[in-house]
Amino acid sequence: MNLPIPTNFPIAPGLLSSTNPVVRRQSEDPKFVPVLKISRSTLPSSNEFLDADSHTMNQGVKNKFEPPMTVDFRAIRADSTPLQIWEGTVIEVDHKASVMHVELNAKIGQIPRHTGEIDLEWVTEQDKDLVNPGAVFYLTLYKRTERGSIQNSQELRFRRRPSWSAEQLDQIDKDAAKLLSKMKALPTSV
Amino acid sequence: MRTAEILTSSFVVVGDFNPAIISPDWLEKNDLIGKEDADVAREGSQGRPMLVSHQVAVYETGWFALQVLDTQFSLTSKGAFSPATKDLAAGIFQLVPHTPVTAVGLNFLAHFKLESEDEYNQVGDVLAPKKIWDTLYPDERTGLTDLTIQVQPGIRGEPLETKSEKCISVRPSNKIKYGIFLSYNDHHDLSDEDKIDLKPAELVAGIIDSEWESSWHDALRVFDVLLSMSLEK
Repeated sequence: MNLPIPTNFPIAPGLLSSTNPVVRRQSEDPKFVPVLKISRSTLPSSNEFLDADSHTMNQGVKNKFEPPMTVDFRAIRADSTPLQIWEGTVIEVDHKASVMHVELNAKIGQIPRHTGEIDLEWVTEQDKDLVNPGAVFYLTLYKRTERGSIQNSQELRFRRRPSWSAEQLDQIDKDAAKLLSKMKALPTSV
Repeated sequence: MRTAEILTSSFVVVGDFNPAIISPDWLEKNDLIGKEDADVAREGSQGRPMLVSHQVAVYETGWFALQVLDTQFSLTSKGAFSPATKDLAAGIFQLVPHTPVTAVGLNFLAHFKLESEDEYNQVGDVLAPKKIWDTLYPDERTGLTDLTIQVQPGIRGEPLETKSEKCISVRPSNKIKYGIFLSYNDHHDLSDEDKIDLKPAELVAGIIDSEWESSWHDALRVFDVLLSMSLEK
């Protein structure tokens, strides 16, 4: 049976199922049979990817000599939802007034682009070096429900991407040249 | 449009990985995360220490959790939902272009709160009618615990054009009373890709970059329509 490769949930270390094609491929060699570290027969099916509940949901009969679990199957705490997300671009930085002039593009709903000012106090220490004209950031306005109380808050995070490698620049040059070679000059009108 | 109580996003990539490479130090050195985030990852949180070895890398910061095994990479957003996790995922694969990868999944998970137990049951009854089950078990309670719909391009009965697909799942929420948990998996099989000039991990970075936002919006649309139509009187 050819099972699809799952990309919708993480595998817990030690919970590698024989139904997973990647594991099955490895297990063809008896030297590399994965060792089960938790007494569970299925992959997590709980509705949190790494939910603590999933530890117990599918537990079968425990082995007497169960090896220790080396890595905890971690619960990822999620308790908020975005109300609005803006992708912003820094236009100008006014260090004297401690503000940045920005252009904001809303990612939820049909809201036209607009400009604004954001106090630099909202920028974390680690992102301060990134505050330059042209820099891109994300501003999330979110709602968090915690122990019965609802909080509205915001988070500002600057975009970080690795710089282009020489190899990538070379590839871009090649692609551009290929594209250019396919272009024809427009006929000139008399 | 309905707003979820909780929304998270995750990236799961299938391939052959070297977990030891993807440490907080490496992310910081390559400017993918800042010093404060790297410190949080190194120090561990909620009593759970960072673990980076040849077999596994597991750690988290205030805004993402990362787990890399030899056959699977997963990055999950924490706290405020932000496209910054998309940049981080794409950035990592941009830095390891020769990594052999076979598939990537863009995932969105949401918990929705319903008004009452009646609404909660209505969603389950509309999506999975109980006529058959009530006939089988007339004196017992039956309920939906897990439903997954696979969406593949093309027409039923005809050969599949691609191994890429979407999977949408519905389950009761384990976080919210009378809540529904919805998940959306946008699975991209890399054997479909014909961009032979690109290395596998570069393809993954490209897919994450170009598809994540449209997948996110499609997930929100699907969740909204699914609940609205289920709750129509």
